[in-house]
Amino acid sequence: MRGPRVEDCFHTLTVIDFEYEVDDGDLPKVLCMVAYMLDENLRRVETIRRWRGEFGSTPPFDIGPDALVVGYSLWAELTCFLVLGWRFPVHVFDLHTAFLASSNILLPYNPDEVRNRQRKRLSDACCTYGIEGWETIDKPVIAKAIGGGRWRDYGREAVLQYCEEDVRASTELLRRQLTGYGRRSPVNPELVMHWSKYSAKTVARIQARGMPIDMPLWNLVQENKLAVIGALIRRFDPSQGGENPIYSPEGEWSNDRFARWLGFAGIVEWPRLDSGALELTGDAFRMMYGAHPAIEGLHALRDGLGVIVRARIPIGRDGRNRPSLFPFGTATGRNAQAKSLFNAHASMRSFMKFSPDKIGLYLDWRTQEVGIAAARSGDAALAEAYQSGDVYHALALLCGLTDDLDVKRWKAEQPGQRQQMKALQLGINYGMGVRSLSRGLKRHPLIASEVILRHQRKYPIYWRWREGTVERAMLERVIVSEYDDWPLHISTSPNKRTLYNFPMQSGGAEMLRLAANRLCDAGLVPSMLVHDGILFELEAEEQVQHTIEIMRIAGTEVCGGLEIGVDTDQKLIGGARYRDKRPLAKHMWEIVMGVLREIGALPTAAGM
Amino acid sequence: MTEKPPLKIVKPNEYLEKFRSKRSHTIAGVETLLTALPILRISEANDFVRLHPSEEDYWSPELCFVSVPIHGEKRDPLHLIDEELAMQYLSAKKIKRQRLALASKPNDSFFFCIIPSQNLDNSWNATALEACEIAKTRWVQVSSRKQEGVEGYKTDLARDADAFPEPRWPSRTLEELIEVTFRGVTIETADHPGLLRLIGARQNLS
Repeated sequence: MRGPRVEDCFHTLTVIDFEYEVDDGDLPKVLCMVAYMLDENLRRVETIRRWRGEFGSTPPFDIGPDALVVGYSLWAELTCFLVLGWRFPVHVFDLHTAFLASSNILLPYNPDEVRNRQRKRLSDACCTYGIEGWETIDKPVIAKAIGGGRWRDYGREAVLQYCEEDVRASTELLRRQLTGYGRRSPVNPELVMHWSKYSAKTVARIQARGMPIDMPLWNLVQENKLAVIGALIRRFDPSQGGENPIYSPEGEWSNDRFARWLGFAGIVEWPRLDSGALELTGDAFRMMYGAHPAIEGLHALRDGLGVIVRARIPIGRDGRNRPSLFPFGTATGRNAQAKSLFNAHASMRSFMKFSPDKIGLYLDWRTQEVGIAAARSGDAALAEAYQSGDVYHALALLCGLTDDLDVKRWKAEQPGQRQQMKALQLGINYGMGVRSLSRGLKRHPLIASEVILRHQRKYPIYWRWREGTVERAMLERVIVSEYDDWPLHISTSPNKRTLYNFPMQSGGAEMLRLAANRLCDAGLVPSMLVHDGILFELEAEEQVQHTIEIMRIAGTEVCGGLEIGVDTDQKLIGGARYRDKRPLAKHMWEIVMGVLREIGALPTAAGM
Repeated sequence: MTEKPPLKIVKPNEYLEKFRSKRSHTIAGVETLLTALPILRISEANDFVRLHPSEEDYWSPELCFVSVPIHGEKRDPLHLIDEELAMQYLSAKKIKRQRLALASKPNDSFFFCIIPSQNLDNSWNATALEACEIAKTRWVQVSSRKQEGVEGYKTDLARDADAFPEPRWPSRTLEELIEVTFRGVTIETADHPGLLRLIGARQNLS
């Protein structure tokens, strides 16, 4: 049964929008704000307008427990709160998050169709809900002008009017989201408020914090970009020196030349999309590491070079990388963050350097997706394998790749095999077929088939649960995350693999959201959220244990009691640089540093 | 009735030699193998087809194959097999003896076309072979006449000889193309998973 109407629960509802100037990576410079105060029937009773210099030390509306603050992509508004030194509202309702939930649809599986990602701006949401507006305003142009500091071209009144138009539309959107519109059902306000705590408050705090970048070094690399790119492609592009190098001297990748090189290198079974095009995802590269010794390096180069070539990561004047997290930006509810050092090859994370008085800490949940699969399915054997310490070891035993029963020794002596098992385990979770598994194992398809059969025999409850989950989703035309009900609506003929994988991915997203909310509540604001990991910049040693404990409890809670371990991947003290532990990442970073020393940009003895 | 062109003897080469069929056996159906190049009967192409005009260079000698059932795969992948091993471990009717020729659908969509080399007095094989010969120089589309009550294939020529561009044949040798197509699915030892499956032996995962 539906709970009480949202408008019955709060004495005050305030719909807000801010306009601000902002440079890439910087915090916003607030220009103006418009707020509509609504009564219990969502009718406007008052309009508040504030211009730069008129803001004061507290918001000019109620933010207490009886008030609800509403906005579209509310994290941006709350970032303005932070800049203004305002406390956050107790309750928030993000119209964007509500729109994402109602329009999160898994379309029919058709790999041959080129689909443009549906945009989810306020104007798109309003269009979906039949709300007209902005007829007299060229919205994209004025928005760009305001952001770029050219608002004077329009004048104060026009900017306020523009801001108010967004508030007017947001108010109408709120009404229609709450009552339903056409075939769109009313949203569940309680859930939207729950999700908004993360997508607005937590995300605003994390994005505002950002990651510390070693700016002198970053600038040095940018100044010597061509030399660095040249050194990297000479080392990692196996086609260099041939007639058709995959990378140009400027560091641009060519698909055609890559295809030609595959032929030249005798790699005939590169994974392809159903459309026939070469698959160039990270998974495809990882699957093919065994096919040629240069593939892994080429993959690292492809992932890492973009950071240096395009230099598009947003770094503020204070030297902090502030990428957008795009909360709920993927179908599973995971963030769709972009333009961060964590979106590039691990070697590039070494541009991060923490201040000597801080502790840099990167924690991640141990084999998060497998733990979720074990917990959700209730398969005791899988839970036992998970709790044994290294589920990949259990899989390697199952595959007959090792007979070493000593997990620690195996982990230390067989890092390549472990990486292989990691890809396979994730593949099995999302329904990887015999052919792909065979490529991953570099074994005959019969062996891959046998591995799947053994896995099915060993974890029958997991396999039954997986099938049952998909069957139920197909019948109900929706699949929701178990802990906080993030929905994925299903059209006809969806890709079943997406459905197989949804419980694990959405569970991981829930774990991250829960932990991030609690960390922020505890004043331990992360610097970055990364899939199954969290980066921190802490003040004191006692905070380290506190963060680990919060993450551990969040993992256990989302997994209904099954403890999801938390590992410390990086603990950086005394001004240490982030150094990914993988040998290739270390090697790639050494090449970057080496070339800077070689050309005299860095002192020969400089240890970086 | 047009006279059947004589079948030429293709020169052997080292790699293919051990798979070459040296004995006469009944021909059986062939499954499609999804690897570097698909393997299709000419009638399975469902489109206009050309075969490489150089039989000497791009038509294989008669080779030995077996189909291996794999749980989780829609069709039983075709394996190339050393004839000595095949004869030692498998019944004759399991072994398929046929030739492969490099073929193309319009716009360089290459595949291996199965060329019948046994039971050539069978009307299906005979008409398929005729079509393959014509396809060396003309675009042909081959379809079954079973629904008309006729045992054999019908060969339709493309209305315009230049309806499709001439195939730009790969420069790789036939041997190379076969090697990559059958990489991993070539049975050369008695402990190959494919052979173990066919004789009902336990798989060795280690």
